Amino acid sequence: MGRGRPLNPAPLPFFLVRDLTPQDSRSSFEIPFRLDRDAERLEISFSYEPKEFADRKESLRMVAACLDRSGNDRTGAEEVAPQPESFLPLSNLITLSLDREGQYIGCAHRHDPVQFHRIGLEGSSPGFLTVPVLAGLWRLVVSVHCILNPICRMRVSVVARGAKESS
Amino acid sequence: MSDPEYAFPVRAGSDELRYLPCELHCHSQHSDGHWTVSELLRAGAGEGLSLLALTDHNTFSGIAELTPALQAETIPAIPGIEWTTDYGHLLVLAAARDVDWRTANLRNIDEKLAEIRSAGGLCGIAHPFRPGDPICCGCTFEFEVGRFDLVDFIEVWSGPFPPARSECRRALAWWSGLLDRGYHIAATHGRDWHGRSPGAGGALQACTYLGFSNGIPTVAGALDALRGGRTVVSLGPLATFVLERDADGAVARIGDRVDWSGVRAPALSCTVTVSGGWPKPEGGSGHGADMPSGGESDMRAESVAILGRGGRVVWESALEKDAGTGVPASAAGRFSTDSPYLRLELRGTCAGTLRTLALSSPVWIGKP
Repeated sequence: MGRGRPLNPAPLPFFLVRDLTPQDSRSSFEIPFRLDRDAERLEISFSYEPKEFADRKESLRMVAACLDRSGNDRTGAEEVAPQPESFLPLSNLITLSLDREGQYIGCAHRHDPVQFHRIGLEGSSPGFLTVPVLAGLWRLVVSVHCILNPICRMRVSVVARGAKESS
Repeated sequence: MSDPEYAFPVRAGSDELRYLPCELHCHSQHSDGHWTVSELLRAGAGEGLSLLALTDHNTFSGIAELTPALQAETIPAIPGIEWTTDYGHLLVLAAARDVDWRTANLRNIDEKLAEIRSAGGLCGIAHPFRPGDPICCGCTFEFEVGRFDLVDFIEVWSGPFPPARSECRRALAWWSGLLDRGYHIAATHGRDWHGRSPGAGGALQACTYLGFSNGIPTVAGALDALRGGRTVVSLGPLATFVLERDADGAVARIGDRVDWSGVRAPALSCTVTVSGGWPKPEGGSGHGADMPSGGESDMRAESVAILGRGGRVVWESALEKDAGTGVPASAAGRFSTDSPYLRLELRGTCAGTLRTLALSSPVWIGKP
């Protein structure tokens, strides 16, 4: 799935930092992790920075190129002509999705650069199914949709809370 | 994924086909929408919509909230998901199992479409010509689809005030080209509803009318309408048409697939009916833009055109006024055509400009 170094399943808790570049845009990578015992919930912290691409001149150039690619009339003669300024600030976008043993649990497709998600039977965060946190092989997939800054630092951690005794 | 079948309040049905306003592209807080699922359905009901589809980005976690009780209180909702990939966005409706969007790429999309079809799902292409990266990640449709027979619908219109925007004109032309190649793909509008958003203003919205065969808006009926090509996209007025073959009185309506190709350029009678339809919604779309705004009072249907292969106008006519209301409401005429399909466009003035107010999926009358 996508580019990026494959990782071995990590035991919990883990904390991962990765620097992403524009070359990572339109790619994804997996973060497999192993849960040895059933738990009450998983807690996933996810963040990346910077969110916004501050180079205004380069942003306007990229917007113009994007509008050209989409066939926009450059004459501005359209009744509702796109206003390049209205698309600023451009921003980086990274999203997380989660599955366990082949069952898709969900995704946090939103633009917040700082996210905290709970997964568990007591209620999961929006975007994720309410499922039991069972021992087994889990997987986060990081979808790197768009990176504009030379470096965008991503941090993700996963913690299991309320570990249950093995039966 | 949850069972897509839901119970709905039993209402008196009929054999009468009825077109009702729907919205097939909506987001909730389960992705980047503003509203909860409950708020979304209440907003849809409040705007006079008869049905909507919940299509959160890359998740179906909101579907559990589409309870029978909520839908009975508001409007029915199709369980769906919007595949939000780097190569395009796809609306997947009512699939009985998950098909992994994360492994879709430019060249394996046909396999994915086949998987969705085998899971009982419908597949629609969302906003194919919306500007993509870095303005809107993956929003331009780039997938190299070969099997367009696996595509059930295309958003020929999307976002606020579609006829005023060039991306929608390009989508319409693309869809028309696919019809020319013989693909039975329904036309839809996608508001891409994210809920209230500051700055969205009162841009005029469109809807998709779905033709419910028994007159009752249900999830099953909506899926049947999409599969059967019984759709009309519109800024408000509902425009439908019926063809009758002069030779024997055989009749065909929007979405029908009949074979009248035995006679070259059959002589046809066409009857178009226009009604007031869906009222203009208040509020914004979630996509702020300086859009023209207007309401029913600002909109006036004036003429209709029947278009065939190559987007060529086969017949057009001014609308006749209804004797009672004085509102332009119908047209009738006769023509012959070699085109394998015919579709309707309703034209008139809105926000001070002559433009397309509504358009239908085609009637198929011959082999492409």
